[in-house]
Amino acid sequence: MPQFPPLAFPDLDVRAVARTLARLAGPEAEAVDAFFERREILELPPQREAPGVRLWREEGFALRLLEGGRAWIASRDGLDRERYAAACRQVARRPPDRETQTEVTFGAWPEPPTAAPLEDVPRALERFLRESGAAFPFEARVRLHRRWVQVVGDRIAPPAQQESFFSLAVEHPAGRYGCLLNTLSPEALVGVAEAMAEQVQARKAEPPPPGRTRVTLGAAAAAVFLHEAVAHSLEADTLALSGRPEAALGLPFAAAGVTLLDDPSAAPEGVARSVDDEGMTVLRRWLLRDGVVEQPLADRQWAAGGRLEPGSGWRGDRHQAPSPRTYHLELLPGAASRDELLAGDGIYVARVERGLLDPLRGDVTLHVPGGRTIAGGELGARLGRFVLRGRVQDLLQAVEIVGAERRIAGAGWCAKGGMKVPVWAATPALRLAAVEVGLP
Amino acid sequence: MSDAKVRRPAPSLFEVIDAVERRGLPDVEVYWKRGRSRQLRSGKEGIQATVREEAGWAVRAGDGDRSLFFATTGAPRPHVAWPEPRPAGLRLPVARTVAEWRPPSDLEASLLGEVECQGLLEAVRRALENEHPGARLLRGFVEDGSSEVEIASTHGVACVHRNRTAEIRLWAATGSGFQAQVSMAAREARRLSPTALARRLADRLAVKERGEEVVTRDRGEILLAPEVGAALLAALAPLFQRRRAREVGWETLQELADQSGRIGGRALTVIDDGRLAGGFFEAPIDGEGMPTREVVLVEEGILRQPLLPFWEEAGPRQRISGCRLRRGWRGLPETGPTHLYLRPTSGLGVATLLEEVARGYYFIDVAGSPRLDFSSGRLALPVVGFEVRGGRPVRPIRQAWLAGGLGPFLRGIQATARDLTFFPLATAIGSPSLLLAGLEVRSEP
Repeated sequence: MPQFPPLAFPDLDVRAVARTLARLAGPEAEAVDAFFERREILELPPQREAPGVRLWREEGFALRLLEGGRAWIASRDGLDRERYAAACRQVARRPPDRETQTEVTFGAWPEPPTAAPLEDVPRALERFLRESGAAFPFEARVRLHRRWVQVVGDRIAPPAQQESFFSLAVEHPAGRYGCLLNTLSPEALVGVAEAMAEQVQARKAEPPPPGRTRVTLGAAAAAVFLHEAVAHSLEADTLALSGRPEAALGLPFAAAGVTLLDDPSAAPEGVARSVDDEGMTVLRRWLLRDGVVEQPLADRQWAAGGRLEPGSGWRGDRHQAPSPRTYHLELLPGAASRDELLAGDGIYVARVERGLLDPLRGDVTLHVPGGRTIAGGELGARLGRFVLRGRVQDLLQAVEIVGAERRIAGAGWCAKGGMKVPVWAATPALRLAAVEVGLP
Repeated sequence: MSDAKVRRPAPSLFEVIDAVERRGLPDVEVYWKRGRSRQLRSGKEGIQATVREEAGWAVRAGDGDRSLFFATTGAPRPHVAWPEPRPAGLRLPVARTVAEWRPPSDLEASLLGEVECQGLLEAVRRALENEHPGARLLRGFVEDGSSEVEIASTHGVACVHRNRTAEIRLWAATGSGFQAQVSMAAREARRLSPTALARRLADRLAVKERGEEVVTRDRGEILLAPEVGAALLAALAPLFQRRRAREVGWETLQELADQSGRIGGRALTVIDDGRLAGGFFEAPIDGEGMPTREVVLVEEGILRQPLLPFWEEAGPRQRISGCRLRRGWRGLPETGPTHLYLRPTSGLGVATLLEEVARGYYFIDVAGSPRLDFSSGRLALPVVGFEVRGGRPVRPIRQAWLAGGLGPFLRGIQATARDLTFFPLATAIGSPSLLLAGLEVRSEP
């Protein structure tokens, strides 16, 4: 696990920032905040791809003023007195005064990370593939991501936040595999090797015949399904497309037994967060309790109406305004054993390559790189590439049973509205009674 | 570099080059980009006005055996935490003569202010109400930005240029809940016409509100509005450069061609031009400092040359294209088009092409992303428009699928109108209205 240095903003005077923010906020202001960010990515590309190592280090800030249903935002790369003063002037929409001419600086960067943990990844994947009897060429791109965030309000300065995780993008004979990991442990890399091998083995398999069938989603596949079908559907801005977000409260949305939470504080080690990117304390947010909507995902602006709770405001970076997003999904486990999840006939899906929600039509599509048949309670033949489709509520109502064993799985990048953020999950497997299966 | 106002990159870029050379890496390139933009978003959550200033620089450096890339915010400076170079030899291009280029005058215009952005959206809203009573603007997004790029290298590249781009995205709905979206871009935001935008939205809303579904498979002459042509061309963009490992590319087009290299009729001419006058991304150089130019990829149906980065240049018929793009200071150069378009036909109006549709369709917009399976050569695109009989629209169609093979699509382009229009689709993709045969209209993909 990468070690964080003690402070990423050693010289940032949080009190001085808070004082300037207090000066910006007029009597009608609902909120004013400053978002400070440092990000670092170290990448080892595939062998022989130049440049042979890549390091990105960026820093900057954004000021935001919320007043009367409007938001004024000024964002900058870098941080110094002049930039900060100019940003203050822009959000306040008035000339600077002495108080906003304050010295603000981040201080020195921490030492850059070492590439050594990343170097071992391709060799480890090769070894695990060999041990499992698979052997095929691949090219791996490995990245270490580190991010430090400090939000300051005119009255509060929550603790600085930090995230450290890895991303993996592998090209192999059957296409591509990508994932996020909070650790490069042998167990995690064995999972990657398994996923790669499954994709390659499914390459020449026939897809399932189009039609409706029972589908069992493994933990990683269930995480993506729930992310698309529930998390995106219950973001306040998505709900607003078809009405008032508050109207979703109390709505029966999924089968009884589906209880889904978003809890950033329970995210895996290295990426857990105690406050969101607006400085609001995160919640153990019950998105669905026994299938019923309890609390959609909202940021400060969407929560201003009073019935939604903030704490889910996330930013892709300082240049993007916060918006409601999930961070760490948890599906409460049920009681179903592996035998029960695989009982009867159907299709088993270990992983979903990508998912897509059409918020206007309420349709979700999951692209599956390969699966297995289930016949008589046993995993059978491999299946080639296919898609699962359906209306969100039909699919969620089709959940028959929930597995008893929950796993950290299905982490990945979520892109919406031009903003890409990492998302994490811990879910058990699910079985759905009838899902439409089709060709990509 | 020849320019009306010759400017060399700032001394700080050369200080960085010196510092990296002293670390034992003889091949060095420094790229510095600064930009400023103003955005306005309007929607149910209220109005959000953003002023954004970005500045960052990046270094590629190496020799024949090892290399590094480092990118960071701020201005170039020599004393940073350079990563240790790792095995992978780096090649940088040698400077070339850049043809004379005069910076367009609209680069000097000020960015739209907050009030102007709001005024633009308000004008669209009012015009939409006139065009389609009962329709309302759900959300609007306006962005107007400018940037400056400086590139210097140990291989003689020393360039400075500026850019200016504006974009607007609009979402609207009828009183009965049908929704439509349009996106447009221009080099300067004041060129965006509220009336034209409102008409585009109103046309799409009208078709969705009154349109029917297609229930059978059908063929016939099909007229595609620029939006639809551009969406198809965007999906084909990977085919205009050489195939990389496990991906499609120019070779895919060569496999479709006959012995003379023909893949389509005389109406099919595909061009990429990084210095297209008035283009959103008009620039004299690409992201590596190589000169941009008009590159004819397909000429009257015959394959000419793919987009070629400097290391793939091979003689006078296979010249470097100036096609290495960088998505900001964080990005490494990637081969791709800048302004990719189908050549229009001067003097040929859309109405003339519509009159030629005895029995067919006129599709005015896309209703989702194209599906293109390069391995099977099958494509499908959800579209909206009209059924046409005797040159006149007779029935609105809320959604249909335009489907068929890649080869039949390319061979089926019979004529292009004069109304070339560019759209912001990852890069600038342009198409005029197209008259084509060879594709099917279906209810399912």
